[in-house]
Amino acid sequence: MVLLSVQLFLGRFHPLIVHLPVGFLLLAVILQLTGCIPRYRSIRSAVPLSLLTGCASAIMACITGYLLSLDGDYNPETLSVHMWLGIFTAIVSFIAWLISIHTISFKAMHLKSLNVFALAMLVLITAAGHYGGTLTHGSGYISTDIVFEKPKEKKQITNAEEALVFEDIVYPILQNKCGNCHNNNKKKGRLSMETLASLKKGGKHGAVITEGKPLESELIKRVLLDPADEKFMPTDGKPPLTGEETAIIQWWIESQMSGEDKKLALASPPSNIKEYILHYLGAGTAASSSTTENAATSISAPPVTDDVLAQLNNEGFVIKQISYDPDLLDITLPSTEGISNADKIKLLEPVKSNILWLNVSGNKVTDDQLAIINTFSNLQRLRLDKTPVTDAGIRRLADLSSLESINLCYTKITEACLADLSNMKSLQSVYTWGTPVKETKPGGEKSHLKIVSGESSNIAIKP
Amino acid sequence: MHDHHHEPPFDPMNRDLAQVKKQLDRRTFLTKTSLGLGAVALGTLLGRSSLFGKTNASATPLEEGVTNTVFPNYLPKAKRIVYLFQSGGPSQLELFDYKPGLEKYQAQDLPASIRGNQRLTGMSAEQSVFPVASSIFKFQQYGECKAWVSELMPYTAQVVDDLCFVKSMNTDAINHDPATTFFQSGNQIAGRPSIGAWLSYGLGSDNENLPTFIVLVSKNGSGQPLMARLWSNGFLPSRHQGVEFRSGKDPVLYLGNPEGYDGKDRRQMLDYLKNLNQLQADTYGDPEINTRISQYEMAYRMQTSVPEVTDMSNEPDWVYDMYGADSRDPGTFAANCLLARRLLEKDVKFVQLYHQGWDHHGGLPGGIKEQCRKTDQASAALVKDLKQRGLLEDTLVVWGGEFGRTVYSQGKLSADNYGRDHHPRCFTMWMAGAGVKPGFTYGETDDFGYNIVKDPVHVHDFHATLLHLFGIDHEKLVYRYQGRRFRLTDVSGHVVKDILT
Repeated sequence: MVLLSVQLFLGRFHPLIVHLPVGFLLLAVILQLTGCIPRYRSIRSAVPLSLLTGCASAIMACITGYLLSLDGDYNPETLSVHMWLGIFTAIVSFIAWLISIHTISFKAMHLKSLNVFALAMLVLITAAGHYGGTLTHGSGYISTDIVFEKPKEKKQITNAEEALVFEDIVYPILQNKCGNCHNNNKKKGRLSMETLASLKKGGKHGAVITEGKPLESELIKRVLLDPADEKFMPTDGKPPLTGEETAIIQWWIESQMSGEDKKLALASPPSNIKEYILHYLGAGTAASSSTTENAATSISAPPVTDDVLAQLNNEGFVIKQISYDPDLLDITLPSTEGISNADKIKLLEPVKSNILWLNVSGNKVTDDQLAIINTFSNLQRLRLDKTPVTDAGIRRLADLSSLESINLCYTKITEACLADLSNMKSLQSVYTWGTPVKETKPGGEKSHLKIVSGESSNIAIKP
Repeated sequence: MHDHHHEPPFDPMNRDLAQVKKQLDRRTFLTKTSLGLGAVALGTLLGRSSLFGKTNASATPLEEGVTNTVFPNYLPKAKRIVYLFQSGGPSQLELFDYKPGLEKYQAQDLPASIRGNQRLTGMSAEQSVFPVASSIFKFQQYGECKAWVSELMPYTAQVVDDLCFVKSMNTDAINHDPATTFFQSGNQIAGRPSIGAWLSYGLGSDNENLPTFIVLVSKNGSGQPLMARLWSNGFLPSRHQGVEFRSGKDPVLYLGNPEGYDGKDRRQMLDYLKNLNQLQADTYGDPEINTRISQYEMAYRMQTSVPEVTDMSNEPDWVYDMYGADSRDPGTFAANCLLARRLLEKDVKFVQLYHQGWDHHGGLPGGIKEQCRKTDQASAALVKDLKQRGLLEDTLVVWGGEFGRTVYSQGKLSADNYGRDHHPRCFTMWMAGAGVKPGFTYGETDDFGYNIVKDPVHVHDFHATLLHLFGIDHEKLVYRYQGRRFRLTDVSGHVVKDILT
């Protein structure tokens, strides 16, 4: 067996042992101060033992702490403050113990002086603990930012093209996934990613990035290792980098690193990297990528209450909400054999701007009811197939400026309605199977309007 | 006294049961308070803008406490889908991926540079040579989009202007079971919910009288087996699983009343049963009890809805002519396509067809001809029929198998006979309808049809795109199970935006 590093082995017990003096000494403080109340004076008899165990463990903590500090991965300034505070705590607690067992006394009032020592220990422990925490977790580990959003702190990327490649994309990834251990306060492997300069400088084993060669860079190599490998980063089961994040950093090392920090638009990444970046930025900012994809946001419609929907449900409408902001609906009015439900169309009045798709197929819809549908200003798809609507009825739909498709299969329409239909500027598809209207391009070759009549319409069919 | 003995609500009168109820109350309190906090935390994790934001009671298909996200996330293009699954792995080289240069290499060993490090199955890995086999079938361009289709698919060739071909599909699995399971559930190992179950879970039903997810399997299928777990709900509540209709004259058995029973008091009987089940559900909180309740109700409604939809007597002759002669024979692929159209007309969200027999390791020319004869006309007819009814604009049609086939011949290559082994690295699928570009071809393979050279589409990407068409962000449709969140696309998947309209 080869003796490697006994000091580091013992040093690593510091974080464990350090909690003992904190507990024992705080207990002594509590006992001592509670003893100020005459009724509880008797509990002060436990103070000497608490102080003794606290002092002994504090000395142990000092020794192990010193051994750990030799490892050298810590910010020297914070470290020295922490060390001296720790040593003072041990000394003060030792003196306090001597006072408590009457070995030494400050004039005649040694009991009162012990109160002063107790308060001093409280301050010392708190301060030493704070600096110790800063060493392990970095400064700002406990911060109100976690609870409340700090508006100015995080740069909102509203326009991805304007984002700086390193500062706004690569750096936040590194901070988020690596910054906990590789910062100026806690330089694991003597590597800090706090600034571009310190990142370039590298760590204990030299540079971690080889400019232009991502796969030869230690940083990328470590990230791409098998997670079970001892050298895999981030270590200890901390959240790993995603495939997209790794790809972004690889691209940065390969092509962007040497020059100045460019805006994304100028860096012109390959399309897959760009998609990853947009995705990454989208997830990090309020303006998520889904809003750009969502065609619903350009539609304005008032909110719909659940009561109204429940009421329509009870009337037999099948309602699917297809957007929640704004509230947009896909409504079907089922037809029951022999009974027409068309009278119910007027019940849709309260949600008239919210209806995007409407299906009244198979109901005996009258021209007057079409006039009601004509007020559904956002309507995009309308199914009137197997209804008795006529050319006169189609004329009543002239205000549907958003209508994209209308299903008129097995209705009583004729070619005459094509003129009215081609006046509807958004209309793209008209289904006329089972009517005399044939497949044509009524608006000429350039028009978007398409008539789909099917092939079998010449055969008499029972719909 | 009660003149109507149905009136008093059921209540546990039994002392033991009351005791259990009491105990559970304390437990329920603890569970509910802790879960409640968990749900609030999860809500913020999932990025809701406000914690107690607006909820939409009218459309909450999701189970309580699972996620606060409501679907769809953005405006959908598709309302329903029919997936024509071609089990066994149809050869892309015989059907759609035309490789005119292959004849030059006929019977030559496939260059190692093309083969790369692709693993082979045990069936052909030991071959001493990998002779390139060009297709013996003729190809021709069709439609305005000039898509290449082989002579095996004369009917599909007529509708190419409505289809979107993806020639760069690729998968991770090389054998049937894992590959099929991967396609249907996003994972090679069984146990995850299938696509249909996820859609049912996320979007709910559009027609309460029929199951949301219906499965039709071509009858007398031989070849690679199909298991009910392919349409399973996995860990989702079991009412989201696919309901298989029998392939035959009577798709759902026992819908009629037995002899001597007129069914008049069935409603009453079911109400009683529901109360009893509800009692158990309240006591034990097992979601499977709720599933049982909803399935009894569904079965009751299906007594009228299923005979209506499966009664083909009102289909005119020309419809049968369009789908082909097989369509008069219930349970065939053609008859299932026709039934699928009728189900889609009733707003069934997901109709999943399976057709076996594409696994042509040997005797490929004869075998593939036979399968095309059984499927080509009906697949094309379904697209045409949906289109003329105006349904294609919000119905997605998907055609494809679990992987492709190798360019080299498995076994002996002769002038008119050869076989092809499994090939996961590239194969062709087509989609049509809702939100995908009509008359469009995406992705390219190399001159050997062995590697993808442009725009690869992985199975996860296919799933992400499919969910996208239904307005679902595939990263948001999640379900927590055994301590982690699960998605159909696992941890991958990109929406293939280039094929969207």
